[in-house]
Amino acid sequence: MACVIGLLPAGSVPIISGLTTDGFFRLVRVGSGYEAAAELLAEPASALLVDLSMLTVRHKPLLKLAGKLNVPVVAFGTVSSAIDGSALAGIHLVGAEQAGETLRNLVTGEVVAEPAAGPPAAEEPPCMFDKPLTREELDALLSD
Amino acid sequence: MNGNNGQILLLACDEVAGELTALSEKVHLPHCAAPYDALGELACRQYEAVIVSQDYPDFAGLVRAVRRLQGSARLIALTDPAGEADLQMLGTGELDGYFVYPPTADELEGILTPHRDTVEAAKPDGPGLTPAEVAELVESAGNIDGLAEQIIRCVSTWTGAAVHWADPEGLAVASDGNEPLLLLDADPPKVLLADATLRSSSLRSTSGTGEITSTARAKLAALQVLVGPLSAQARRADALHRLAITDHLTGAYNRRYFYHFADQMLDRAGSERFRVTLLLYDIDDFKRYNDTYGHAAGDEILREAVSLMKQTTRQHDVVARIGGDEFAVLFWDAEPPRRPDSRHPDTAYVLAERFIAKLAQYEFPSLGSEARGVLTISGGLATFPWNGKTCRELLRHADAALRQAKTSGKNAIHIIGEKELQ
Repeated sequence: MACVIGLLPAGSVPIISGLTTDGFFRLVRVGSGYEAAAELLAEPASALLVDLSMLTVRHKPLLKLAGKLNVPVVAFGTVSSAIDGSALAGIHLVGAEQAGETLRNLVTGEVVAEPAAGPPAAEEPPCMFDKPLTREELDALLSD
Repeated sequence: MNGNNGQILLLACDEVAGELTALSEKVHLPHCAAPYDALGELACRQYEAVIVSQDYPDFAGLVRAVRRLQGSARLIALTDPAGEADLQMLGTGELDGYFVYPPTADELEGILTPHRDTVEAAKPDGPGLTPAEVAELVESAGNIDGLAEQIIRCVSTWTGAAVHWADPEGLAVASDGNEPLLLLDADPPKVLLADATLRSSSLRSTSGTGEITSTARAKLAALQVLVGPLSAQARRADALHRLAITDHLTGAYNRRYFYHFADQMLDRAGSERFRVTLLLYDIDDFKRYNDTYGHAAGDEILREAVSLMKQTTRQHDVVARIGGDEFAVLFWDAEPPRRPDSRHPDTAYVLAERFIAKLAQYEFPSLGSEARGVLTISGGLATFPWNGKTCRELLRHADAALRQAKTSGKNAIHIIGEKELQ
C-alpha cells in the first residue's frame, strides 16, 4: 500500500475519501507543514498531496524537503495569496478530481504530465487576493 | 545547526539561544533556528529533551511534528510571559512542560541537566540493594515527597522498625542518642530516625549487641550513596513541576493548573458533598495604570495583588492568574456536608471583603499620587453546586457576576442574582 502524506484542511474529506477506498493508498493526513515534514522524515512516502490553500511562503522548505527526498508533490485547489509562483515549480498542479489518478500514476510509474507546466486544471481556478488570476498572471508566477 | 552533544536540542532564534547558552554554564546547548532544519536533525538523532520556542508560527503543529520524531524525549516549550496564557489555552498534550523566558540560571539548570545519567552512575555495585529496590526508588523520585515516602518504606522493611523524617536542627538540640540513619538533601534537609519506642528493640540485632543488623546496615550504606542523585533528580522534577503550574510573573498558580485542580476538586465535592466557591476578579481600569505608569508598574500591581490575596486566603485555597489581569480563587471546605437549606458559604464573602479592604489600604509605590486607596477590583462569585457543577460552568457564572459588578460601577463583588458585597 502506497503511503501518501496529505497536507489538507478539514474540508477536504470528500476529495480524499475516494483515494483510499480501493486500498491502494494509505493516507496520512496532517494539518501542518511541520507535521508533513515529520511524516516525510519518519517513514518512506510515495507522494505528498497538498491543498494549495494551505500553502504559504513558510512552506517552501517543506516543498524543498519533498524534492530532496524525491517525493512527488501533487497539489490541487486554490492558490493562497501568501505564496509566490516560484514555490510551485516542480509541483503537479491538478484539479481535485484528478488528484487520485495523478497519484496513482506517479506511484505506479505511469507517464504523468510535466509538473507545473501550465495552469491547474482545477474547477476552482487559482486565485490571488480572492480574485481569479488571469492566464498572464499565472504564467508570470510560474515562470519565476 | 550549531554543535551537538546528543542530549538536548533548543529550537529558538539565535538571540534567545545565545542568552540561554550564556545562562547555562554547565550544559552545552546546541540549537537550530530554522524549524525544518531542526526536524531534519531530530529525524537523525535521538535527544533526551527538545526545547521549542513558542515564537514560531504554527507552534502547535511544530510541537506535534517534534513529538512524531522524538517519541521519548522530554518536550519543553519556551514562552514569554505574554504568551504563557496562550500556551495554557493551547493545551498541547504533547508537551512535558514549559518555562517562561528568561529563566533564572537555577531554573535553566534544573531543566537542562540530564538526570538519568547521574542516577545510573551512582547505582551501587555491591549487593546492598536489589535491582527491584533501586527501580522502585528511581520510580519514586518524580518528586521529593514521593522519594521520602519510598525511603521510609524501604528502611522500615529492612530494619523491621518504624522510622520517620526529622529536622536535623531539632535533632542536635534533643541529642538523645538517636543516631540518624540517613540524610536527605531536601529543602529543608531531613534526617531519617528510628521511632523512639522502637530504637532499643527491633532496629537492633537480635543478638542483643545493640547494633543494626549487618544486612540492614549494608542496605542503608548503599541507599546513602544513591540518595544524593535521587534527591537531586526529585528536586529537579519538583522544580519543573512548579514551573509548569505557576504563573511566572505573579507566583500564583497558572490557568492550566487551576482548571485541572478545580475539576478534581469539584469531582471530590460532588461525591463528598462539600461546597466549593469560585471568585473571579480583575483589577479595575488596569489598562489605565499600565498606560499611565508603565508596564513595570502594571507588573507590580499584579504581583502585589496576588501577594495580598494569598495573605488573605487560607493555605488550602487556590489563587490563580487565568488571564492578563484576571484572577480566580477557589475556596473549598471539606468539612460539613451540604444540607438542603444551606446557602453560599460566608467564608468566601468574608475573605473577598477582607481582600478588598486590604487592597484599599495597601500602598503601591509605583503608582505615584494613586499609590494608596485608588486601586480597586471587581469580582464575581459562583458556588458549587448552586451555580454550576463544572469548572467552566462556575467560571461562566462568576464571569457574568463580574460583568454585573463592572456595569454597576466597579469596586464590588457580585453574586448572580444576589446582593453585592460592597
